[in-house]
Amino acid sequence: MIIEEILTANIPGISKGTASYLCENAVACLHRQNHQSGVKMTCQGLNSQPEVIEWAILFTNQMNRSLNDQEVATEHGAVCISILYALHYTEYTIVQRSRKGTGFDYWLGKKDDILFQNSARMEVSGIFNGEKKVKERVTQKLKQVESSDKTGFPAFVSVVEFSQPGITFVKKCSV
Amino acid sequence: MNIVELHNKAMKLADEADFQIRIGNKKKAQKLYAKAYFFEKEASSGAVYEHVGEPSETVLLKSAAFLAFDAKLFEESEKMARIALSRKPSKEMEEELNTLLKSIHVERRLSVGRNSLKANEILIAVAGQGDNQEQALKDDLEDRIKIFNKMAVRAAEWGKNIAYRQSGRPSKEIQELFRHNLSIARETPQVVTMRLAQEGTESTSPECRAQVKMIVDDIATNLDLANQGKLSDLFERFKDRLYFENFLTLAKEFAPDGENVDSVIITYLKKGKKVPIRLTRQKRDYKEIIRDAQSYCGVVKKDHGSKANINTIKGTLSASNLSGK
Repeated sequence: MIIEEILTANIPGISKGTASYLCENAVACLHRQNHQSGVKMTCQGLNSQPEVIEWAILFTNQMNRSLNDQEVATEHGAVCISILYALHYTEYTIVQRSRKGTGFDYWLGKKDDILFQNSARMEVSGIFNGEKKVKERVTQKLKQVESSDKTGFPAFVSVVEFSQPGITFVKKCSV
Repeated sequence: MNIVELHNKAMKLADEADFQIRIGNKKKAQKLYAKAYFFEKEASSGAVYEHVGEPSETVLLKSAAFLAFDAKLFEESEKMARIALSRKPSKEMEEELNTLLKSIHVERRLSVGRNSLKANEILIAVAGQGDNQEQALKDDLEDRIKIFNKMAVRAAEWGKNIAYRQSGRPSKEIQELFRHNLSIARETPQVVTMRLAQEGTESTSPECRAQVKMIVDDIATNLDLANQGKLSDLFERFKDRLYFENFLTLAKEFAPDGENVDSVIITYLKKGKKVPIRLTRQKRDYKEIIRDAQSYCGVVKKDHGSKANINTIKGTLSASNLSGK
């Protein structure tokens, strides 16, 4: 998985600048955990084959200063990794977004589908440092999306951890 | 433009607005959110009119409602949220929309609660899940009033260049400043105005007024920086490790708990204009912030947990520079 792929990932309504911002956040989290391009990421859920994460962009001092809120960086870094993973391992081909709170909801869809029709909602969560927190976070997120089942659309939960890079990507089937 | 193009345009504008927020340009961001709302509203109307079906219609309505809120178009936001709720959305979306309506309610209370805010006043409001339990929120607000008092005393000491007080009471001078001067006007159970200097007392001297104004401005600005996680900027303002750490500890106590209280809103007067600051970073998130803070003030935690001071000297190694190293 190459992080810069987010720039060409076909995300409707997302500017190049924002794609690049998501990309930089993912690199910031990995760099701050002393990982280098080529690090292995464990995968749980849809597949259990480890994934190699690669990137070419340099983590500069300027990036370090501008992405100084680690909580925000973790959230956006996790979004970047989750989108790439979803496009690689699910049947969905594009990512759509809608506004919520101070951020976005991410929806996985297919290229020629009507907006949000037959889409799956993707709940993303990032953990900067805490492999042990992953299970708890997945359970918590699954509870949050439980009610999506009733509307008939599927939902995915994606939890990304950066210290021992790993992604847990679980599908919550529709009723 | 078709529905998809309208929606994509709205999302792009929201991206640009988020970027402006990140670089501290809130005014420009608000304008961009308003533009984004316009496009999303059109997209949602189009979706409803063309019966594209669910969940598309409700998702677009909800998205428009949130964009209107970001643009501070509260009436529009409420209208869109109520239309979305009338369509019987999923439980999850229903919860999000109800939380949005509560936030709109609080914003409205704030804007009409106190039109004549003065430079020596700061408005504190709490909002959240406990909105239905007035007493619970009232208690949460009481706790924050106590914390605000502590912040005010520390800000006054810091402003007077008094060395950080590890224990004991504030000096007589500081006690005098706050003896008759700190008062509370309750606007509603969830909103209070803290007044740091009473009219008609000796505290209305120009010097005292200036000091009080500075305290209000300091606390509000520092809380905003802590909430945004801008620790280096915050430390730059304090330039004192002990005051800095104490402030972060108090900011943590002041922050929303994420259970009863979703957000704490403070409003103060800056250059004659009301400035509202919504604090959304939760108490539990401050753990990481306080840990990170140590790197800004030259303190490292050793394995056994003790702290050691590191003096940082900034400068140029002229000899090595000259030799090209």
